Amino acid sequence: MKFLKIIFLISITFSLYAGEYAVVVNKKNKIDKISKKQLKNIFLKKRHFIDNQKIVAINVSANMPLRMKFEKSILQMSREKLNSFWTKQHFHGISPPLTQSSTNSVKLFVKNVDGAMGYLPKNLIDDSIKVIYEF
Amino acid sequence: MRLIFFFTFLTTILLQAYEIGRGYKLHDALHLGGYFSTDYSNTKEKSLFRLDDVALLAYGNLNNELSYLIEMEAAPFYTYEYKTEKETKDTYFHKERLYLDYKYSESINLRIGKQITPIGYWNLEPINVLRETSSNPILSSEMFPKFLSGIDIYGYIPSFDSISYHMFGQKNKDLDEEYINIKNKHFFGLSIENESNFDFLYGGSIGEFISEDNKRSRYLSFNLKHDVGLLNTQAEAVISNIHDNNTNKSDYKIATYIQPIYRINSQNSIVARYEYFKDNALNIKRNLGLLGYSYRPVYSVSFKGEYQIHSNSNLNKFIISFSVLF
Repeated sequence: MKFLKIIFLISITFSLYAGEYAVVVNKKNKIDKISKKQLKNIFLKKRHFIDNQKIVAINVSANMPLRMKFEKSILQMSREKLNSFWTKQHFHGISPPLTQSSTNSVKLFVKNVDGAMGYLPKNLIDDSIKVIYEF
Repeated sequence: MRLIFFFTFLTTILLQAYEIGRGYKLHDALHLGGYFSTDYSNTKEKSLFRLDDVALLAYGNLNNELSYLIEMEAAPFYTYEYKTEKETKDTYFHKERLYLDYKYSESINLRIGKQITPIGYWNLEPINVLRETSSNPILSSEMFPKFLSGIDIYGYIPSFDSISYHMFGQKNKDLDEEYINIKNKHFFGLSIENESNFDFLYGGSIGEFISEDNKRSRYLSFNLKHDVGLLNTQAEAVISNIHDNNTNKSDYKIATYIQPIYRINSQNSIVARYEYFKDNALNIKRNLGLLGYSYRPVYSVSFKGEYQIHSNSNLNKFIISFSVLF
């Protein structure tokens, strides 16, 4: 019985830590994996290339829980800090990543644009796009 | 009736495309914005009101690799001196920045035109609304030309993934000579920065320029920024060897500052700054400390107040300012 309890606890722990979401790119993209730091650089537009592939980062709308989760887990920045960051970038002539109003449009964008990179719930992912990071 | 319909339509379109602090995004190739700042300062000698900067910005992506930025600024737009009741206006819009950016790869990118000189931190965010103090440190105006009218090659150094560089040069007049702190026709430099940690950045620069009065300056600078929790600290130091080609004499200049900012919350901050400046050739030595307060109802709108204490008490100064990036 004690053994079963341990197994149960371990499986609960694993399910809590397994990512519900994934960062995805176009199938043709040569990138197979990416680090959290690279992701942060790409979505803050500090960097524009990975392995000499020009990347186009795609966000979902600011009020979607998925966006909030991405900002918390990957960018690790509060909304206020992000606002101040993008205000400063406006002065430098840099605008935030493109935004799509739904996860389906993100998927479609990534599927059709070679350098596109977005994030989606795992249940929307199929063979038409490539997963490079889970969170 | 048609006119009313047209203006209603236009306003609706513009409002939809507008976000405060981010400008109008009319198209990926055209973002419009700008900023202004006003301040009131008081010293023993004078009380001054200024509408200091009035600037308009346009930028965008022309294609996947090519982008541009244009900034036109009038400063000081309007000043009023209370004791003498003297009023001045300068409504001519100067070319503050005008450049093309070509993004070729992670390690090699190109910027051509008039641009902010990529040295340190302060110089890169020089406008009132982006700072936490109304005033600038002496370092920002005395040690190197704020703008470069030339070429900057920049990117990340291959094999040193987190180290970025800027290698820049100018061998001509500034694109708008009336609008630069140090007029020159010769300016070359290299800046590097370690970005391995988002919370702790540090770097340095070396370079050389020859000013209009035929003095050659060779500078070395260091800068660091630490931003963790509620405390942000930024420090820069520049030392410069100056050779006067007319008299064949050499001397040196030093400027440094350290500025901690304590964020009470997302809208309110307390700021302090200590500065040291020495120009050996002119026998000028200054120490300055300031304490200030910053309030931002939203990030792109800033109200600030500060009091400066100088080693020469005649220079002690009180400043309040209001600035907006739109």
